[in-house]
Amino acid sequence: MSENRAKCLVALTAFRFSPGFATAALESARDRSEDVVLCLVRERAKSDAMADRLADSGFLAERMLHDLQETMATEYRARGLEYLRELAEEAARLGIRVDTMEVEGAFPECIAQVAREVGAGRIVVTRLERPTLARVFFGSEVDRLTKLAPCPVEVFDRRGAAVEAERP
Amino acid sequence: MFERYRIAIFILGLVFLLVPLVAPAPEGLGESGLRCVGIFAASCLFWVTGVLPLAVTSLSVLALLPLLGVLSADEAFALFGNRAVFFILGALVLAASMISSGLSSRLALLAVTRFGSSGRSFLLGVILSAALLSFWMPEHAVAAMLFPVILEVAHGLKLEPRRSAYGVALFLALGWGSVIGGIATLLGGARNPLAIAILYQTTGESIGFFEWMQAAVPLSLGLLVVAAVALDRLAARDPVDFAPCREILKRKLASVGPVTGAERRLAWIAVGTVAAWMFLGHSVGLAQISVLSAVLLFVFRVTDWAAVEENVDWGIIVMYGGAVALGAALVDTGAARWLASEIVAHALLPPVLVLMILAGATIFLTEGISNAAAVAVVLPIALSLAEFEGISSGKLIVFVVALPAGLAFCLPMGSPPNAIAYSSGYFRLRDILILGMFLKLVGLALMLVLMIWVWPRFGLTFVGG
Repeated sequence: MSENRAKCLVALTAFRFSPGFATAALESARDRSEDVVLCLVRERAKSDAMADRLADSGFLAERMLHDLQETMATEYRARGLEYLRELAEEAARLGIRVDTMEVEGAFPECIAQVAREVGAGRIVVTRLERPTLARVFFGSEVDRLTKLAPCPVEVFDRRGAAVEAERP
Repeated sequence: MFERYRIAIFILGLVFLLVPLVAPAPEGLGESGLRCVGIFAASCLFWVTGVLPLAVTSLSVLALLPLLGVLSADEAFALFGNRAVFFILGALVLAASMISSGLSSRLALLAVTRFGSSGRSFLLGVILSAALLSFWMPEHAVAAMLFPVILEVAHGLKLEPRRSAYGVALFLALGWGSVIGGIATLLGGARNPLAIAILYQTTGESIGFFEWMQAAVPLSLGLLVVAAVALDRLAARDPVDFAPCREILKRKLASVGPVTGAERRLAWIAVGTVAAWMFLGHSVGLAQISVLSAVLLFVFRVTDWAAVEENVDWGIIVMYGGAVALGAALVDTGAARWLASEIVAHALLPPVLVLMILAGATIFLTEGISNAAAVAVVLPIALSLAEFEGISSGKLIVFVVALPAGLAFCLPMGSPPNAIAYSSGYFRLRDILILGMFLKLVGLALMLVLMIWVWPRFGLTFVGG
């Protein structure tokens, strides 16, 4: 990957991916002659939070909860890696130079940190499928990312249409 | 979900608790009644928003009732030791033994492998196995147990998350099968014994194990048929070649090994316990049978305490103990009656309409809050409301509230089996919303049919029953 070329950081999680988004993200990088860094965030805290909720309202016992948590974490990681592989293959097909990486933690903080480390010129993400009302009342990780990111954040919808471009 | 409003919610809860200490009691309600309404409002707020664990909210009720002078400390803490709590305790120890011994996994795998001839038959196997196992075990435990098996099958079939209609149907079958089975007996969801405990503390009436099944199994079976047909039609859009998965299922079944002596002894104890609950429940008492059964598991070395500790969440006991105490306090202080009178005001409605409104309100409320919390919130008021509307059977009210409280089909947070199925990522919120709403309406329609034509045969009548 060239040090001089602009870098586009494509942020993924096991749930933050769609084929439409993948195509749009890579094509936009190709059109701008950018190198791409594909970053998968393993959100262990999410499966842990779900497990906590199940423990509280579902009264799932410790052992069962632990097994379920492990199953979920393994499944999410496998799915994320599969998306990463798909994207890397598609990037190679489009002739884009690509780096892949995997980090663990909270999505906005991790992506903002990686963007700083790799010197990304922009970040490309897609939103989770959530009702707008839920986003307004309970907050959004993409909104938080736009606040933390050192570079502009472009948001695509699941079909790959650019919906927002935020400059921090 | 309400994490960002946590402080505001705590302040509002505090207001609910403090206002009755300074405000004059309204007509028809004493001072202790008003304070009880305050505790009820704060508990509902915490149960609904989940800013505190459900069990902790219940625990706080036990402290607040004597602290605010609603009940004496002796009365409040004595309510915690009610019969339903001990019934649940024994049932949980039995379920924990089934899980730790591997008997439940064996039964689940045996059931689903029998249906492994094609994709559609496997789908039917999943919904049936989940439902039938949830007749005898907590529904969330069934969903958690079957989840890895279904996930492995989904991988074997190379189903694409969110895009495969078969994948959507498969995970909905897991969630909904468990939910539908969970209403059928007193074992599927501990909210069922909780409802009976509130009834007993409120009216002195009780409902037997067999009696519950008479009323609930027809609804459960009706919903099972409708859900199976709906999911089969959904899966038919995306035919799958099931051949690669037969080997997976065989391997899974082989991995549980031969039947052990402990599993055999457990099977006998479980069958004996269920038979005793069904046929001796009224004469001996459900709780006594439950506790004796738990003791037998240790006598015959089926389980040990460490395994029970690992497989039982004791929070459930605390949650139900507190909820029963609150329900009893609402009735004792006249608060439930007052709230009911405020709700109905001057509107006297036909009993069947009142019952359907109660069922409808509960079936939608349960989507947003825990099933048990829905029972704890609605039932004490509903029992008093029934008096105003001339509905004499408290048992009928229990069914009208507790059965819909278990029928959370629309949202992942509505019920643990749905949350577990949703965590797979194989279906979207809108998949479960649309089909779930359809199933909810079918459930309400079935309840109406049962209420008018079937339940009266068992003495569950609107008036004069």
